[in-house]
Amino acid sequence: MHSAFKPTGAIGGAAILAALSCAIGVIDLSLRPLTLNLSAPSVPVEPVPQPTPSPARPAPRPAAPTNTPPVEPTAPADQLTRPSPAGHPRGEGFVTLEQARSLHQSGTASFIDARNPDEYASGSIPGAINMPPDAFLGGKIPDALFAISRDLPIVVYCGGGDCDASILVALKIRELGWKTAVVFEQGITGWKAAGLPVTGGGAP
Amino acid sequence: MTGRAADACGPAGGGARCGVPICAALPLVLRLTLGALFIISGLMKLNLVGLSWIHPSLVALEPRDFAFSIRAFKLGLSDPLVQFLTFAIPWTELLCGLALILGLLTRGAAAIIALLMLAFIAGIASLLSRGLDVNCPCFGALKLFCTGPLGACHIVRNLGFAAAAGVLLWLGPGPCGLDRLLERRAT
Repeated sequence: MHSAFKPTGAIGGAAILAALSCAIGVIDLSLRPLTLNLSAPSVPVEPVPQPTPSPARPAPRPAAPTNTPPVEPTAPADQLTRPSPAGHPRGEGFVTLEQARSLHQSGTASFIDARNPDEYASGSIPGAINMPPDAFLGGKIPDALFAISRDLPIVVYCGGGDCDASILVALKIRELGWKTAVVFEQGITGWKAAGLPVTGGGAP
Repeated sequence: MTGRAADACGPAGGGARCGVPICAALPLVLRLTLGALFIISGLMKLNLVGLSWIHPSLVALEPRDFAFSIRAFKLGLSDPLVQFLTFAIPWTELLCGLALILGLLTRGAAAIIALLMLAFIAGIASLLSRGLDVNCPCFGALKLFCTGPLGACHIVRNLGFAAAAGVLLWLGPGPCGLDRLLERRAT
């Protein structure tokens, strides 16, 4: 006569192991809570001047493809110094295309490209340093980070809307003390779509 | 029919089911191999202990790195669910790996690993169909058999793991497993 629940059977054993794994997982999560979203930077980023002609969106360059979708700003320019609008899908700590462009033109911000080296080599924002999440594996701090001022804005980007690597890198470098890190959510895709300059890569 | 390896630890469970002598040792070999791989896989995602002293490539991920890898699949999972999976998946791998090594709840561990691998295969296929590039968080910094973003190589590798787990599911723990003690107590 077989009992209904047999630990050495596939279903009984799987149920025991699954229950145990989930229970330990929940306990581990409560002991090591995860931060997955960016808050506003604890050190306010320098206010960004509004572009003088104040077009609603950047005019694409003649070379840009005509069927490129327009790039909508995701938040007002002063978002970094006050809470982001309600309903922002990613919370605070993000800069718009306009802000990223202003910071880049002012030359006061550092740009970090969080994509893989081969993607970085295929075209990046001029002056951007390549620093993918893997550069931090094993608690390592990339040497290039020490060349970046902790007081000036740091703009982290990756491929665009579908990538989260920029958020992960921004979270990591904030924890390491570079608290002015913000994320340019539209990434290289939004940058290129706006007809802004791109280089073939190479650290400054 | 039991093989010599089975005799070393007493009567085998289902190891002799296929009727070929090598089948008696096969479950033990599969258990130890799969078990070790999944223990490493779990530890690499949980960052509980450093294993780089074994090999320099055994550098663990932070749990948050794994959470972002789950998010990168763009499956529309809520943050609490991502956080739960970030710990539940590696703990499942770790416990199933330990279970296989010990030969305890072997069929259950094999069933979970097979299902996990099939789920990963479905996830990778979904990634490929959407043209998304995601780095493999599978074994931390260690690139086991496959390099580059998740792709066809990882599907084949996971199919191999699923097949090995399927064989264990069929054959049972074989020799030298604690399941035998449980079965004796039950009878």
